[in-house]
Amino acid sequence: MTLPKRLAIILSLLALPACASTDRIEARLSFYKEHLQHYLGALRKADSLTPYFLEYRVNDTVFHSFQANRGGVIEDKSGASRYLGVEARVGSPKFDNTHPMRENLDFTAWEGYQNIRIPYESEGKSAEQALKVASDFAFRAAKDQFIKIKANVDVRPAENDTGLDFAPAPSAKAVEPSPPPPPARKKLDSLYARIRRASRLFANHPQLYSTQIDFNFHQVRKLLVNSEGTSLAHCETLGNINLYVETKAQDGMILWLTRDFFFQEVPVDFPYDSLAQAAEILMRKLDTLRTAPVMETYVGPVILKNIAAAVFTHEVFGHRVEGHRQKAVDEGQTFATKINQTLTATFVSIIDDPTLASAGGIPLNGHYRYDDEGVASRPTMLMENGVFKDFLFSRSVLSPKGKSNGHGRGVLGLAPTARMGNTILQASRTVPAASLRDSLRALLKRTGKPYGLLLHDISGGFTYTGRDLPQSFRVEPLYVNQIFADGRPDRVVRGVDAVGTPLVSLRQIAAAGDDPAVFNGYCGAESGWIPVSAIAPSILLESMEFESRAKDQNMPPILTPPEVRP
Amino acid sequence: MKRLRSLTAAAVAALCAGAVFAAEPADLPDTSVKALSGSPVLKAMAHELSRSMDSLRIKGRPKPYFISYLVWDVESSHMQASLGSCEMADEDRQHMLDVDLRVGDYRQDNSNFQGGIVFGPRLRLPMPQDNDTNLIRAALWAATDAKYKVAVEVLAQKRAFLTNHSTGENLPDFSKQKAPAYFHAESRTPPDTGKVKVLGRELSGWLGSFPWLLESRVGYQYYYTTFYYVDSEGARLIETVKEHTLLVSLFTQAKDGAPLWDYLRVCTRDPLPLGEGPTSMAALRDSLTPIIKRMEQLRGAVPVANYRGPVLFTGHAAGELLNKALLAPQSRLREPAGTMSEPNFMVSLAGRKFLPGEVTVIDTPSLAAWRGRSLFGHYHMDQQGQAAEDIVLVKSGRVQEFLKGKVPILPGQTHASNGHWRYGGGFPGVTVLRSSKPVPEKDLRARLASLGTDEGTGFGLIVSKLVDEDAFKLLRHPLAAQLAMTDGMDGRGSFSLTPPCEIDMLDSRTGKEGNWKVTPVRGLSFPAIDSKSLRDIAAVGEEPWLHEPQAAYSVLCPSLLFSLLDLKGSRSNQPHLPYIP
Repeated sequence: MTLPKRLAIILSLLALPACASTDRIEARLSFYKEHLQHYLGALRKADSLTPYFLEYRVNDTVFHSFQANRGGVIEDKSGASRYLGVEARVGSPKFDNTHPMRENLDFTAWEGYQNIRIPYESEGKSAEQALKVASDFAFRAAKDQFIKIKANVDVRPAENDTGLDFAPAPSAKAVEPSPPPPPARKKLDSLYARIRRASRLFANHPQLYSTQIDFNFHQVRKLLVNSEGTSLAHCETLGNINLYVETKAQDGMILWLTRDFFFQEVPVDFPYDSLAQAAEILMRKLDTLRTAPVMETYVGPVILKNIAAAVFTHEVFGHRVEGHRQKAVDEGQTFATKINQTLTATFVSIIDDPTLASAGGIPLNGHYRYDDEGVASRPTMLMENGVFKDFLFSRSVLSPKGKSNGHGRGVLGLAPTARMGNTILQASRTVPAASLRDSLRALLKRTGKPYGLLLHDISGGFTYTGRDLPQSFRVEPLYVNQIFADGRPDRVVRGVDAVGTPLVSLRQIAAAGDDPAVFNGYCGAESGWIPVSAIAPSILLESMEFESRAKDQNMPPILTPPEVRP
Repeated sequence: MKRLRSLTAAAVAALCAGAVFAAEPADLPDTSVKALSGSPVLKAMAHELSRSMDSLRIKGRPKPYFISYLVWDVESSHMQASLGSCEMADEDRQHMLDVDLRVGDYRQDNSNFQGGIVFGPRLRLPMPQDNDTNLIRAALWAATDAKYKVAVEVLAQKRAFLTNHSTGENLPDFSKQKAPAYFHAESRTPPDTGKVKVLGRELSGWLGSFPWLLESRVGYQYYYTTFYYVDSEGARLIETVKEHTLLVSLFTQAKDGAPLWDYLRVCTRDPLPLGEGPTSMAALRDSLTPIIKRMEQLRGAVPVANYRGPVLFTGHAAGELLNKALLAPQSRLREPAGTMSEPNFMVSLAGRKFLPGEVTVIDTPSLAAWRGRSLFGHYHMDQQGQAAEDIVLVKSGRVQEFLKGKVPILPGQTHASNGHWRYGGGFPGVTVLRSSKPVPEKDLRARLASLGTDEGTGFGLIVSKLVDEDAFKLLRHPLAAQLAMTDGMDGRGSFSLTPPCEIDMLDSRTGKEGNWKVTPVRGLSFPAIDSKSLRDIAAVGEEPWLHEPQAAYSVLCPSLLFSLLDLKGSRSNQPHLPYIP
């Protein structure tokens, strides 16, 4: 006997909630597994074409959402929901219904039945019925597509695809205990009051046209079972407070700035002062921006501040190493033949590591333990010391022996594809971030240019990877300084976007600072909008091109915004 | 200038102080006067409106001559349950706004013109969840600014067009009407959420005992909507409406794969006694059992091929036919000027025969109840702040009047609104069709049988139920989407009906008179129906059926017997039955 009986009882009682919670999850997983096997069996008897794979994904989401502006409430919602997605595959792992279809506009495609809301309570007949219909329809959609894709491949020119449409993956079994539920809505009253109070700071500023403070928090429990024996239950939690301010310059240009705070537990004590300070900084910067001159088009040296560099890494490089893009012949396949070639500075490495939950105390949006195909996430070295090494893969791979590296991601209802997680640019050789300005001035002197640019923040951007348009990128800076060669003070400018092409742009990295920072955001592509992160230090580019930004052709509001009254 | 500013300030102060009504305040009871003048939402709307009328202008361009704001505050709760489980039980509140801003004058303004698209300002601010007047004013400010800039350019486009084109009928674009004040508020009666869920679980659980039903869902919805209206002519109103609706939707496939659907709808303005009376389990089972039996029978029925012959519209279907034929076309009675402009078809029927000579159709929003039941179509003020009038739409078969707002529609006449402008156009209240020669229901059936014999089909069709949009939205099954598709298109003088949910064959070849076999049939849908067919209505029933689509208006229409209509047979390629039994 090692423990006093009373203490043992207390300890066992403490252990109960976790065990009970795990038992409940196991029971739910069993429900889905049993029905999957039963329905798969029925589908295999139904037709000459049979499914070789079936998968169920169920997401339970508990959320809080609060939006405030000028001291008032726009939205205050909390709730829980449960949604189901089903995937079926017909054919074989080498060639199945997900194989890319070329040049075909199909009006008779069988539509699946996805993203189905089911009751947020113990699974019963209603969930069963939804599973039945969804499995049936997923199979019909797969069958329909497979018949068509077979003909499509035979009729079109030969592909150079030696890969697999669905690489084998070990079945994964893991049940994570439920994390503590988020606080009930009532417990958020004081936090919401502080947010509301902070939003009032935006009131009665005549040049502030649109403002808002948003609080979002959601905890998603993901269940995944498939016909290969994978049975997973894990959680993802994300929350943020976002401040947004917008104005319009006299020439019609819409200008906006934003600031985010990210967290993985609801910060019920989030200080008002942090919100107030962020709001004041945003308003001050926006005011500067509003009266800043419009910049001319430009090509020359640029410093991308760390957050801007992170977005640059995501847009210029990250999307082009999504593995499935290398299979589709209408994609640019920019890096398809570049493995083991030097593409950028030798001090630069880029890794995508979804296993990282946080960096420097900041939670990372792109963290996950299992991807949406049930494959364990793992760090993937993409660029090592300037040499291109690998792609991001889902289970759609480029070689007969290829494997997923745990990057198959997609929202419920859309087939997962290779997507980024936490994309990290690391520099093995850095300089103090402040000294990048000196390096930039040195470049200006060498090139005879009067100024260079410093991009503080980028809103995001997009990149085009298809062959039918220029395979370029555009990133949209929010706040830009000119740094003058002659040493006069920096000047804020507006009205330009950075553009370029990937192979040229990556070669422009000349130096890196010692100040890595995190960019958290959401990335939209074929498999939907997913949370991602990018981390990078400030970098100096020898040359980058800036084009004039499209400008809204409406003048600012004629009347000042209405006065906010207590 | 100084004097003008002080007058304006005084006017604003008067509005804010509570003198918000401009006409006939003595007609309102004191409580209503207080409610109007004390309403912070109305005050905020009036203040922003006044600011815009006073100061919103672009140098060298016309200023607004008319602005109106309509804000509606919608409080709602929804429940859905299926197979014994509650799938959702949410409460919601949202505000929406509509701004009508006009530049020019009553004679010629920016409206009633279809030129190109003017891309105006994108700034729109969200409305608050509650009645936060600061945020309501901000949203109105942004929307008004955008409307004004677009209106200025559209007026210029219109003037440019008219300098090179004739002006057609030369109707004024708008009219000045009375500026009444009105207040009416019903009490809030949100349902007991617990009882709603219990009802949902129990009823949906019972529906689960019919395994051949591929989908069944019970829904409950409650809406409490408050309309706030102000305009620059001085009209002010606050009016509330509410709705309690219980819906049941049932879906399956026939043996050939064709989707089949039916539904039950119980809706009232007054609270439904949950679990008692008409919504007791016993009563609901009694109502649903014949619907379920009918669907089961239809599963094995052979679909009917193309049909031409007599059709009797009864039940909800009669009201929906009247709605599509006569009421829905009145949502737009003024054709916009532009290169595609042509005379409005409905208006061109003024004074002309539309229905048989025995038929009269009135619209009477003053009718509050029918057979003890409150009517959704009863209202006092329309959404342009005009008093709702009882009107005669059709008299002795001839078109007499239209559902009118402030937009003139008939040339050569002084225009007066009859208070029928809602949801963006002419909109009914309580529409009642009567015949001076009504026929008892059994005689209608006898005539149907006789017409069928004469036609050579040997049978006639009875259509009693068409699509109900709210019930349809309960369905999630992916095959359900095609059920609500109309095969015809609405056009000049023609209208379309959704495929019938309930249609029966009255077979005059079987049984004796009065005892013919009536069998549910399926597979038929309506092509576009030419409104000329209405003149061929062979008989009109005695007893009206009540039809209240989406709880927005009421149609009291007896059965209508058509001597000859076309219906289309069903599609040849139906989806397979489920692979998983």
